[in-house]
Amino acid sequence: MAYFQIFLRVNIIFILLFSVLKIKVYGDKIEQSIYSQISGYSSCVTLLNATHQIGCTSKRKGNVGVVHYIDSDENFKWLLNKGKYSPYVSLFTAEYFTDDRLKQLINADKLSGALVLYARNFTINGTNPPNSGFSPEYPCPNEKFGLYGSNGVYSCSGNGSNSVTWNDNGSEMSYRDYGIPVFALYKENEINNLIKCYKDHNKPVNGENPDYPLCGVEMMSFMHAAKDTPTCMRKSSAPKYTQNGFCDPLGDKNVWGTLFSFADDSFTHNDVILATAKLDSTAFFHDLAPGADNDATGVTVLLAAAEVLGNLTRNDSIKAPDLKKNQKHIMFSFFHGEVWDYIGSSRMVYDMMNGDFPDKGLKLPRLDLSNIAYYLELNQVGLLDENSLWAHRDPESEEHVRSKTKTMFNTLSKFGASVNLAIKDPSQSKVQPLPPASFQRFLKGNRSIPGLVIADHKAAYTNKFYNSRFDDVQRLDVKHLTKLATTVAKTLYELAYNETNDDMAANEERVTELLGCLIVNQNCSLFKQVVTKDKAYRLASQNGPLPRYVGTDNKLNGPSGITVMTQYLLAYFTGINLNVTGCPAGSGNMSFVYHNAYGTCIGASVYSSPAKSPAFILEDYGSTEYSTWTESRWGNDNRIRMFLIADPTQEAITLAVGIMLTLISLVVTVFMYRKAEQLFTPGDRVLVINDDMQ
Amino acid sequence: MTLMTLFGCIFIAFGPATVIFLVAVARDHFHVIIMISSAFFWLLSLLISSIWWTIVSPLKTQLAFGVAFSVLFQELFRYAFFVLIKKAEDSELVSLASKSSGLFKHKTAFVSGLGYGIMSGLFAMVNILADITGPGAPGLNGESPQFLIISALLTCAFVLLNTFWGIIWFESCSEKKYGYLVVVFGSHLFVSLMTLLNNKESYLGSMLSAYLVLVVMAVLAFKVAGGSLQNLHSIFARKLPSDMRSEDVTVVSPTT
Amino acid sequence: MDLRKVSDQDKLQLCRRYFVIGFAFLPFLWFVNFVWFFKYAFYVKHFEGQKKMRYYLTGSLIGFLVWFIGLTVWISVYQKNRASWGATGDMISFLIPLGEP
Repeated sequence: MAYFQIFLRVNIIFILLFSVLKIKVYGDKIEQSIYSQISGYSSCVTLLNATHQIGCTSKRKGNVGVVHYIDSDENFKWLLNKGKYSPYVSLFTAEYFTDDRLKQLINADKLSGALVLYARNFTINGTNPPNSGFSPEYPCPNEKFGLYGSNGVYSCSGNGSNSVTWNDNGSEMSYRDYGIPVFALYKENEINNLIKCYKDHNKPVNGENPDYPLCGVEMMSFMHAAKDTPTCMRKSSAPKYTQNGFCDPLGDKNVWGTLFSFADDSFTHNDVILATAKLDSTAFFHDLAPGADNDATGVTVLLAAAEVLGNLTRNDSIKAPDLKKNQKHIMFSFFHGEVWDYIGSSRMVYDMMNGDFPDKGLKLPRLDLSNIAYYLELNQVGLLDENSLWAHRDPESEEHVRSKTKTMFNTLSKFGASVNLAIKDPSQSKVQPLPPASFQRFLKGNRSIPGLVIADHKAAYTNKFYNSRFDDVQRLDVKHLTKLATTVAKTLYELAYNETNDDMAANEERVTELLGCLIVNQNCSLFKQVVTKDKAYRLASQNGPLPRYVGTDNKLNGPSGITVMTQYLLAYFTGINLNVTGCPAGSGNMSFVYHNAYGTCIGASVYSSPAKSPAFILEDYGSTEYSTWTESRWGNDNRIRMFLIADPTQEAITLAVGIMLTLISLVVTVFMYRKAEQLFTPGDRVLVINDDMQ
Repeated sequence: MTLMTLFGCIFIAFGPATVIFLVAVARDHFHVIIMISSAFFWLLSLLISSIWWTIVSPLKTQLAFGVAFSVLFQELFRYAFFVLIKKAEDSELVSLASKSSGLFKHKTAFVSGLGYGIMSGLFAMVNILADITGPGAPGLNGESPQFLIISALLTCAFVLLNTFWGIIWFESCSEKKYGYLVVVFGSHLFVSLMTLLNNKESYLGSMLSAYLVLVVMAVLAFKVAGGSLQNLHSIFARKLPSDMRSEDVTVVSPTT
Repeated sequence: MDLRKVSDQDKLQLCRRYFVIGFAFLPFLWFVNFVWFFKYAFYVKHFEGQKKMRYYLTGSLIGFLVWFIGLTVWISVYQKNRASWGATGDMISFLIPLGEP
């Protein structure tokens, strides 16, 4: 009787009665009995750059296909060679979801869509990552927008004499234009239903094609943009007669902060040490990017180091730097959108070179690239290669820069050694270039910045799941991350103040906590403690890690969660307890002043700066210098549903029956109408004169 | 693909009714009006039974009661429509028109039945038709794959049944043959209740009963309207020369 | 309007009016004119002014054909080349299609 209640709620009398009259015949609502909606899915979307379109899209009215489950090579081959009910929608287990198989099936015109099983904790069969690793990223990430280009001795893909293929596991899957919708399914009962539907109807019997009815799905994820960024930006700016948009630039905000406010200084010399990490990561399915080794480790270490230094400022062990005494400011910076051709760092460099950094509204002294004394970047640092960390440097820098870099390296390895952490020079045996890093963009702006990129890989990445949904599979060692945080804090301090402070040690619990919050669950006590009360309240309803995909620049609810959270964390770690009533903004030169969840008024010199590619300021959408990535818009009717596909013969029979019935009734009616008088005359042959009927 | 099913179902459910309308009714504006008013009366019966259904709470739990009352209201409104037509027939306008046709009375009955049937058929089928335009076919949760064609066939049966019931009902009312009333009401109730037996796998009961009753009602309506086997025979056996006809027959006024 | 009940002169008048109004970028009106009066201009036995009517009808037909061919050519050229015309293509489009270049 459930359908009665449904109708009751609708409360339309006519439909109500309709149900009384005919429900007896037809049961509940037809659509629900034909279709089974699948709600737990994450879709691959279309992105565009200056020259290409990548990702997935469905046709405007959706793509329909017969489900075929691929959990073995045998099943894959069967579909490729024998499946006769094209188009199919293949349901891959994680292991078989590869670029090669997808391409083969698409080229054979077999596919109208693809699905892959996913479970965050691998609780579902067929969701385990391939043992050999899985990285849908380029083998040479961000190469064209880096320092070394795609030719020359240091270029990655150019196979120069000194080149390193950084992500040698990369399949470029994320950068293909598949032209079909591809979804990841993650709800266990829906997955089981779909597999059951496949087994009941579609599974080949003794290698032969099954009979109708077949189990099918319809996937809808129609992307508005096409071709490339110049095209879609042009169309977006064309006079609009409809509400359709086409694409939006990728972007968010960078987070940066300083130990002591810049406000009273002005920079004339190499006055600032920059320590950076990147905030974003990605995956084939943007929503399913855990970003563990790639981004969370770097962020964690940098924040932990910031806390160590912050603790010293809070107990007055270190004072604001005296620039005249050749002391330096320490600045932390977290770049967003680095995956997509260095959006965040290239924008900060662009702003610095144009005299727009920091933002003029902040009333801070102008910071130029030449004011950067040292640059220290934390890249992926969680998975040690040869049991040590590697400090990469630019092999092409000039002599005087190289000596400063050497100083940096010595300081770093000295402090590393003091906590039993090996930090080595990867160029010892063979000179090699910098790995993909934000630092490359700074060097592009000014080649004489001394700097190091700390990473866990000597040459090729140790992370076999770089920029994939499995990035959080590998075990990260908290102990050495803690040691690294200590080392970084000590190094920064010595470089800034020219003196050593042995009273520094990162807190292992804090590192564990940070890592857990970033990788496992954002709804954690540390996060709730550092943010404001209502933000903490909102966090309580969240689950899983903060999304790491940078997303589009014009987000409805402001910057992404990871940006906001990093800002609060940095403020909490480097800021001071202001003890002022009302907690007014701007107290004591502090730009970032807020009440945390416990009601403490915290003030810190923490800021955000735009992370939108300069290409969109210059309106140079075909730029080869700056990132041109945009994300296509899509409609709000995305969905996937499962159903049975009827035998076309049976459908034809239905139609034939209908036509026959109509024709028969035509003959009978015409006959009876013509002969009405004769037919409907009582036996005594009484006839009625009827002019009309003749 | 499923456009085939859609059109198949439309043809099955409404093909006969449409053909009947086009051939026998459309050219006759008076009867078009009758048909539409009759359809409106079916809507009224729907309204009343839904109000009734909302007010009387036991109906909500016992489907059979709801069905019975709905049938009752439908037949009551059929009677009300008959009364209305009877009233109208007494007026000058209709009697003038009716004089032109001897089959007028039966045709009015038949047309009002058709209107009743088409409206109920539309209400039964439109929701289904709206849902089958997509790529899917029923059967995911164990429904019969024949579901749609069965629905369409049942709708077709109900449309035709209503037509025949209309003829019988009007005849019984005007000729005071109250036995027929019982037959109509009883068979309507029977067929409607039989559809309650529909479940996911089997539609056999409702289909069989609907079509059996349909055949019986067709024969009955045929008889009531003045048809007989003899007439049928005579049509096929020999054709009456048209010039002979006027001599042989007694001409009667249709309104007697 | 039932043309059978209209006098030949009125028919001619009507035909002429249609022909003239057709110049206001209304090729379909020319087409209607042609179809409507075709019988009277070319099949029905001679009446005064039929020659003129034939003139108007031929004019209407030619006008319609010119429009028809012109529009057909333009539409196919536009559909084929809109994407490659770039900004110009967008500018002359009322609705820019989604999901294609």
